[in-house]
Formats: sequence, C-alpha cells, structure tokens
Amino acid sequence: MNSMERVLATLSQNEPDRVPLFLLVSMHGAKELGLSIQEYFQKGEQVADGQLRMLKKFGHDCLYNFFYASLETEAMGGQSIFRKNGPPNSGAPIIRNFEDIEILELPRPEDSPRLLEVLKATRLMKEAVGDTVPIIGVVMSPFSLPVMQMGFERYFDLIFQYHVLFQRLMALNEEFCVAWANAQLEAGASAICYYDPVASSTITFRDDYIKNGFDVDKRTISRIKGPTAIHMASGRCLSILDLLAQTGTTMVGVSAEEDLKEIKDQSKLNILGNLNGIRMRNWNADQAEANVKAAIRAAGSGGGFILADNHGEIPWQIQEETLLSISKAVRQWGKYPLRWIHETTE
Amino acid sequence: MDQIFQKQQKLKEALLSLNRLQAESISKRLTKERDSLSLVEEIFIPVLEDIGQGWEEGKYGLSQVYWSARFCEEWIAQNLLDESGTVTDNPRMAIAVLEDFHSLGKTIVCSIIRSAGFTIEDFGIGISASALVEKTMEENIEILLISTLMLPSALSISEVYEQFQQKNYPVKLVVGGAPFRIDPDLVKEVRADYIVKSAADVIKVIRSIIQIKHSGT
Repeated sequence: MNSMERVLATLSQNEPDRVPLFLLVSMHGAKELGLSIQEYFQKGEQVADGQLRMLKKFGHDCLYNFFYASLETEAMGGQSIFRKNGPPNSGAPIIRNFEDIEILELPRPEDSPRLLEVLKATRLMKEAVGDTVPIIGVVMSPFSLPVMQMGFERYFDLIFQYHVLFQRLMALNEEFCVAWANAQLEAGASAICYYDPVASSTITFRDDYIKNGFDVDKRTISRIKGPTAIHMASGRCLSILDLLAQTGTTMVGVSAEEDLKEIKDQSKLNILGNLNGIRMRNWNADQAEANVKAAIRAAGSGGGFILADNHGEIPWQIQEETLLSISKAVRQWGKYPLRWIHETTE
Repeated sequence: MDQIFQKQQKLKEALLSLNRLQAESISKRLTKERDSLSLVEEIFIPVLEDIGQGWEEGKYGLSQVYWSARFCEEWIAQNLLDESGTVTDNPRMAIAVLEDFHSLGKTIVCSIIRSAGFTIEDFGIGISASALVEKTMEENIEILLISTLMLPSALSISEVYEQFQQKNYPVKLVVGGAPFRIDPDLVKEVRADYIVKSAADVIKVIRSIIQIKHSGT
C-alpha cells in the first residue's frame, strides 16, 4: 500500500497494512535546508523541498503545506513576529476596535502574495507525489481566527456583547475560509485540516459553542470541496464529539489531555492524534516506542485512526532522532492486524 | 455553612451563564448582608476557585473563567475595596507574558489576584527575558508571575531564572500557561518555584509563598 491507499483505507474505518503516521512537521524543513525559520517560509519552493526531504527521511504518510498560523492574518494586513526557535507570533491585531468590523474587508486568497506561496508549495508537492501521498492543506476556522485578528479578550467581549458585529465577522471569515480552503484543494491538497481551538471545550463551554460556533462550522465545512479534519490544536473535545460529527467533517484532531480510548469509543469520527508534542522533546527511543504503542493500543483497532501529535505542529525543539524513533515504532507495532494489543497489557 | 454554600452556588450559576444582571443583583444583596472581607474571602474567591477547578476538570470553558474573573474584579473594585485593597501584607508582585503576545491568561490571573484584595503590577506582553529581569529588579518585586502560550517562551523562563541567579536576586517564580498544562514536568525544567494550572491555584500559591516567608523557611 502507498500512503494514500493506507490513509483512505483507515478513513473508511477499515484496517490498512499499518497505522498511518502523520508527522505534522512544518518548521523542521528549515533545518533540512539550513535556513532560518523566517527565511524558509519566504518561498513556496523551499517549503515543498523541505516537505519532500522530510517525507523521505521520516517515511511518514503525508505532506503538510502549513507555514504558520499567523499567515492568514498576514494576508489580511497583519504582521508575524518571527523567532529563531518556534513559530512566529501574530503581531498587532488587525481589528483594534469593534467598529473596525463594520468596515473590515478581507482579501481574496489569490490576491495575497503570502498565500500564493502556499499554493505554489502545494502545486510543487503535488507534481512530485501525484496521488501517492496525501497533501494536507490548512485553514483557521472562522470561529477561531478572531483570536489572531483581535486578541482573545476582545473576541470574548465581541461574542458575548456585540452579537451583530460578531455575526458580521463570522460571515466575512466564512467567505475567506471557504475560498482559501478551496484554493488549496484546487492547487493539489487532498484534504483540509480545519483548526478550531476556540470550539474546543478547553476554551468554549458546550452551550456557547452550540449558540455561537457550531452553525459557523457546519456552514463553512459544507462549502469546502474536499474532506476535512477538524483539529482542536491541543484543546479538549470529548464533550462536543457529537456536535463535531454533525459538522460534516470526517476526522477530529484530539488533545493529549484526553483519553484516546474514550474518544475512540465515543466518536463516530476518524481520529488524529494524540502524541504529546511538548513531552516529546525529552523522549528517548524507548519512550517514543512506548508512547506510540499506547496510542495504537487505545485507538488503532478497526482503522479510523491516524497517529499524529496532539497540536498539529511538531515543536522545533523535537530532535530528528525522536521523529525517526516514532516512525520506526509505528512500523513495528502499527502493522495490522494488531494482535499484540490482546496479548499484553503493558 | 450550608447558607454560604448556597450563596456561592447562586453566584456561580450567574457567572457561568454570563448573566451580568443576575450576578450584579446577587452581589448587591450579598454586600448588604456581609462585610467586604468576608464577602471576598467566603464568596467571591471560593467561587472563582471553584470555576477555575471546573475548567481544569473540563467542565467549564475558558470564556466562563475569563468572564467570571473580570466581573468579580470590576465588582469588587467598584463596590468593596478602597485603593489600598483589603490585604495588609501584600508582597510586591508583578505579572508578565514572556515573549508571547496572548494576554488572556495574564488577564484572568490579574483579575483573580485583584479580586482577592492584592495589588499586582502588570509588566505587559511580549517582554524579553532580560527586560523582565531588569524591570523586576527595578521594582523590587518579590513574586514574579510569568504567563506563556508557546513552548519556546516557556523554555525561556530558564533564561530568566539564570539571570536572577547571576544577579543574586531573590524572587519567587510562578509560571503558568498551555505548555505547563500539557507537560507539568516543564516547571522543573525551567526551574520555576510554583506552577499555576488554573484560576483555582493562584491565590493558594500566593498565600503559601507569604506563609513560607513569614515562617522563615
């Protein structure tokens, strides 16, 4: 089986030859090319090159066109503040006052030079692998993007006190999100990872998600012309699994803070996760193996599971050796049928 | 005791449902019944701690913690406290977001600390390790609370610690934020003194530091 066949089988809730592995490495491509993180993300061809080199080195099952989270707000006139050892921070908010929302206009993705670099990277990856390896595109959900557009506190105030303006912002973000997701699919992305940490119960109470975010997610996902994985970016989702299943998404990216088996037992969705990306930086080969085994034991049976980290972005601090150990462990312990999980309870 | 519990529950329900009118009405009634100190100590702070604990357990969302903390801070400042606060033995405290630019955690912690009658200086967001050390020493801060969102910023707390060591400056480092929630062992790695996992912890941690200081251990 190639990676695409393996992933499609598991998404159909069948057991492929082994558990698929998505190492969602973005910044590590800069190390491959000997560039700083900021330099690396300036050109789509560098990102494509970095992704293809990492695919070869780690032998995982996807390519990832993700640059960094603040890229979307950069396209909207914001700034990213780069650092040497991690993803850039989002700079000053593009919405400074609630009134700004009344006159806010968002760009078309094709008019943004920064987003065009992502599309270029996607096209180059597609040319290189065709249909053998899934290419994962990325969008921020309309409900979560405002954290970068205006800051957390102001966004909470908007949701709870200025409902008309909140609805207007959601409408603008929905249009942008759908256009951006579909542009990536047209460029060659196989699926879209739809980051929605604000929907997670770590941030938003279930009732408030139903009131404010659920319809936004349903509307948006229904207009994306390809499969999506809704990702909580380390946030918890157990209490809203039933709602997420109704958004039309096919997969959920879950937190290391939640019990993967409990999620598997309760979810109708396919599962992506949930290796602890923060703890991972101190894992030796044995610990990497033990964590891979634990995740496979919890969620591997019957397919419907892709092993990945819990956040959707492997930290810069994770050593190459650790990623290789994870990849090796999946090859050793992820082969279907998973007889070993019934033979031992270690 | 039951009566206090019932009053706590009523306020908690109003706060969790983000119902400002109801929360104000309950708070007004309570103000007539009790003196400021007992109202803060027996109602507001236990309720905020309970909500913080509920967030840690996955029962409530951060939006509820934020709204509750902000409401209590505003209500107490406007209706109960004079400028000096209710705490007579207030250590010199400051809070900052190291290198990152997301201030939500800092805002919540500040609100809870101020609700408890303490004063705390806000050193802002996006501050570097060196600038934070310099400002802390200038202001003679005894307890420094550091909030981070991203792993590289959390790891930079080591740098803060080392600079304080080099300058032989005694300060208690209290850290919090997403990386510490995902990996609680990180607190040892960055050599901080205390971790605040949620709004439930912060006042307990501060009081524990004060107690240790007084006992001279």
